[in-house]
Amino acid sequence: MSEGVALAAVLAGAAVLMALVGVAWLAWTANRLDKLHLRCAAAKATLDEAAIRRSLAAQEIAASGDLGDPASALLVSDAATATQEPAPADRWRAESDLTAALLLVELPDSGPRVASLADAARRLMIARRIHNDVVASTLALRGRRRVRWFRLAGGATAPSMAVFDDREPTGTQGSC
Amino acid sequence: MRVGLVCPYSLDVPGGVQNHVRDLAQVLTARGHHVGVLAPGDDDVAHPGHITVVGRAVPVRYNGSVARLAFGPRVAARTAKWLREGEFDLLHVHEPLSPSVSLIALWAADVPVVATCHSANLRSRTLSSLAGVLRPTIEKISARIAVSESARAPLVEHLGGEPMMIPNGLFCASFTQAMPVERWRSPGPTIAFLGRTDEPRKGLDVLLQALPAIVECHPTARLLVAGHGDVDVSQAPAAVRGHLEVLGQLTDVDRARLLSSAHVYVAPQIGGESFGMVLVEAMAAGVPVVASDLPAFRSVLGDGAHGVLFPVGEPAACADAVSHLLRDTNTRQRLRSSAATAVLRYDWSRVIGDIEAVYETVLPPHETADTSL
Repeated sequence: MSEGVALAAVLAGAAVLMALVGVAWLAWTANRLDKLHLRCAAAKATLDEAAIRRSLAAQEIAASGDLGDPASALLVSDAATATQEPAPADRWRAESDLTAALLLVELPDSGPRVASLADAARRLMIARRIHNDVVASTLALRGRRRVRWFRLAGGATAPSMAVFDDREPTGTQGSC
Repeated sequence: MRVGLVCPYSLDVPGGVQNHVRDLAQVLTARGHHVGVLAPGDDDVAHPGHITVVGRAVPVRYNGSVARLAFGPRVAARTAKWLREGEFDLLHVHEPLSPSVSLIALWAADVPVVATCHSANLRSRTLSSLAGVLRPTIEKISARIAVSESARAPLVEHLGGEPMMIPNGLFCASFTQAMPVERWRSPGPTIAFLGRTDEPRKGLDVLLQALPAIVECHPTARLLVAGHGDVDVSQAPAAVRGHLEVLGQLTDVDRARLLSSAHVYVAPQIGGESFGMVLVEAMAAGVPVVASDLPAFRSVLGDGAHGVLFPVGEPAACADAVSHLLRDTNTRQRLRSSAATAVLRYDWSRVIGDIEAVYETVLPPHETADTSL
């Protein structure tokens, strides 16, 4: 008789322990996810800033007359302006268009403005890759069953990849 | 006088601006002027003697659409050479607010410049960030011309002033005298569509959706579709596929003959039209026009006096308008005769006079006197 009571107590204890471990595991996952969301937000802010820096550097080159002809200047300046316009749906396409414009025109071989554009383009590329890495990790974790079933993401909106052409302008590689 | 014309787009590709420049060169030459044309293009392709190419155009995204343009230091150098050797009294650039050879020629010009705006727009922020380069360049324009109200708006917005309105020219006679083609006329009634079939903004889809209702009223009606691009017949409602005939891309002569054969021409475009030359062509050919109510079309159709307008992108309204018109011979006759008068303002005989008057006003007095034509 007393053996049976002991067994029941052990089983109950084990069940409670397992539940506790499960809750702790879920809490740990939620915490991981929370941290990833925070990193996503930070990476997005860095990416936005890098994009603005590149856009301003491109505008400066266009306005300086370094491009040699006003048509090239207008093309670059217009593409740069487009990236600063508030149109979230077209946001990444505008960045790709600026990349394309910078690849089409003939940039001077050297000079402070070209160096600053090259630096900004390099940093934008790095920022985009870092952003997408953390977004990929976040999306992977959000996709796990435990996260979906227990709604561990809460109200946080899913981050999205920044998909655009981040090639650096030709002729500027290595100048920074 | 010696006139240099600058076209931003390659003359090897058809388009409203290119056609206008090509015809303008022809008309000016016929009137005794010396004309040189500068445009992007392949060096390998043979061009008529008066055309100079500045190098291959590359596709660029500008102003929300992809245009094939030429620019860069080499283009600038060749433009400068053309200006030097042409010894022009006057330069007439088209679409100067685009990143093109037009802007480069304007920038390098040291003779009076006339500029015609067709559709290209400029972002205000682009203008302000590039003011140092653009303002002094744009200031060189002595006379500003807009081809339509919608082309005029950005000019006024960015540069102020009062641009003149001179529409694109058309050789009306080649349309009024076009011979109808029997198989495009009967069995009737026939409805004509002209325009690229693979560009959604040309609105073929709207017309295809309208077709069943039209066929219900007019069981023998046929829709004739002409223009570059494939037509996916399967996207038309199944019941009317037998009423649809795809003609592909037509020559200029056949375009005119198609228009003069059809009982009604429908322009279902859903946007992006700054002029509507094809409507003028239809009016000249004597076919009643049913068009979507876009500002450019409304203007060509005299607010509905020379053709029927229907709300943009609405197949039901389009079907109503077409069905009514096909039933109503009197209205068709009335539209035809009012259109025949209205198109005269687009005829080259009229347009060239306006353009020459601008040229003469812009030239310094002694130069005008020198040109004993």
